[in-house]
Amino acid sequence: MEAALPESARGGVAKPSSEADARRRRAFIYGLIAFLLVASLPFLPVNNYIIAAVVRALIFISLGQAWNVVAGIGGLLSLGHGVFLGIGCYTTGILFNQYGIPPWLGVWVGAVLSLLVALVMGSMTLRMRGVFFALATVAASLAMVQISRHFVDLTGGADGLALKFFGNSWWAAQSRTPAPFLYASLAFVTLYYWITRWILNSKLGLEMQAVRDDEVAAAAAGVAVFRTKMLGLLVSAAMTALAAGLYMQFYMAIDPEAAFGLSQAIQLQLPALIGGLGTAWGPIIGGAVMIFLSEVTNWGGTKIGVSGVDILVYGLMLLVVVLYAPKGIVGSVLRNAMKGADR
Amino acid sequence: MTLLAIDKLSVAYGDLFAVREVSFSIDEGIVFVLLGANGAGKTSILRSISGLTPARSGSVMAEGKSIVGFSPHEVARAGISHVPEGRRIFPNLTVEDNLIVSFIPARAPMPAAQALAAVYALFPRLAERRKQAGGTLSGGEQQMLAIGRAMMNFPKLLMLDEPSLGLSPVLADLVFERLAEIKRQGTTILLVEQNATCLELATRGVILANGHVVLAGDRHALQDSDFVRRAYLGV
Repeated sequence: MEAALPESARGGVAKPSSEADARRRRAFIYGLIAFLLVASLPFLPVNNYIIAAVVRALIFISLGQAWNVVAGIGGLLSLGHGVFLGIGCYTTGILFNQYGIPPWLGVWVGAVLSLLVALVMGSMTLRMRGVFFALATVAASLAMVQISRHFVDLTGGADGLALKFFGNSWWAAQSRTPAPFLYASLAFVTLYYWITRWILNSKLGLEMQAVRDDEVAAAAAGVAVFRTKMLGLLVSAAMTALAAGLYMQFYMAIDPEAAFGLSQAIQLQLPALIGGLGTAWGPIIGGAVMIFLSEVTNWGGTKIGVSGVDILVYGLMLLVVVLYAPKGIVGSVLRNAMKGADR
Repeated sequence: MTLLAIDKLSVAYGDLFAVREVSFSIDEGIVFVLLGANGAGKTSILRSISGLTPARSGSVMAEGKSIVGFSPHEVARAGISHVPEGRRIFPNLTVEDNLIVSFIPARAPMPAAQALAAVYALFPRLAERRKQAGGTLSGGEQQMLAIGRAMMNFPKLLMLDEPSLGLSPVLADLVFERLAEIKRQGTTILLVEQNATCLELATRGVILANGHVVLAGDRHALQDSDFVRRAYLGV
């Protein structure tokens, strides 16, 4: 109120965007505070367990951010992103274990392989609509489970693949403590946030959203529908495979179910679905809330001797969001707080 | 000069022919009307021109070049804009983003900001709603947005599929009045309608029934035809 008075006293009309500007500034400051808080965790009196939980959350978020590009912005509800996660993990792992190639390089090979697979997958599935596309991507995931089981010499078969451990090593990108991964994963989330922002504001992002809203109208408006979908899928696949490199270095192991299984495919969707599809903040807020809840309930669960409560929490969260807040936390709960701000 | 020439165009869905050997041509600068009842094949003709439904046979020439087999975005980039039936704006994009989507810098004679200003001059209501999501607009505003979006493509030919559908008579008049302005500014219009009042706007046109052309001629010929009297005026 106090701020409104001098405004009217000057006889000027408040610019309609000034409030949105303030919200935008506030969102940026909250983001900065969260960033600094996470970055200073190793210097605060918190134990490595907590830091590792935050790393898990950040990796979860970065994978969600990658999926959000194709699904949230582009409207292609892929259940096949485990394929890119798995290719990223297995490629870095195999190149390291069998050929001694450091993950710093291996992860790029994984990204290129993912791009190639996305190109093939996309040209087969992207002309399908809605649920048919989703089902086709499920099929791709399930096929990869069998393929990775089959080539035992390369992938370790159903047992999976564990990285050779070198202790604290820059070359091997390994660490006994989670702090280095904290900074790596924080860098990923920050970078992916800006990539998402950039896509949302770009012509490509606009075209992806137009295709998501109405394919026929987009085509009539001059948008090359197939090419737009393909570009979105490629960007998303590369982002997933790069984040998968980090995933592999942190978890040190991968197996067919963890990479390509259906539960992984669904988990990759949760941060964006719960946080808010197609927004830059959605996967971050969704992923953070979910890992927090699952950690708390798992901790509570072990106290009373029940395990796997986190899966139950995921399921319940998803139900609640789908039923009561289909636009996710950012689109529903924080809708007014973030009105006009960059979401 | 002939802008669009359709020759013996047939469109079919499976064994069902929606359009049979329809021919007409549209000169530059006119308003050409395709008039007919539901199921006469009007929408199918537009969809096959814009590449959404491939033609079964026949030819479609734009400025002397065949556009048969073009995909929809190629047709749009060749200067033929389609305002599809039922408006079909992008509900989650803002009004301004809806417009910018179809702005193609390589095709446009002016920068995006000027193109937006031109559309806003045509439809001032859209300027007021610039930052609003397309889905929150009223039906009439959505129709304006759909037309504005097509104009952002700087079309040589603007094709509209029943722009008056679902609008009140007042709003329909407003839309037709704006189309007259678009024509005055030099854009050729292909208008599909069931509503014979649109003939006021027409230069020439054809009347379709069951996928055939039953009458072709200028505005007066169409207005005076028995078909229109019986079907629309009830006399």
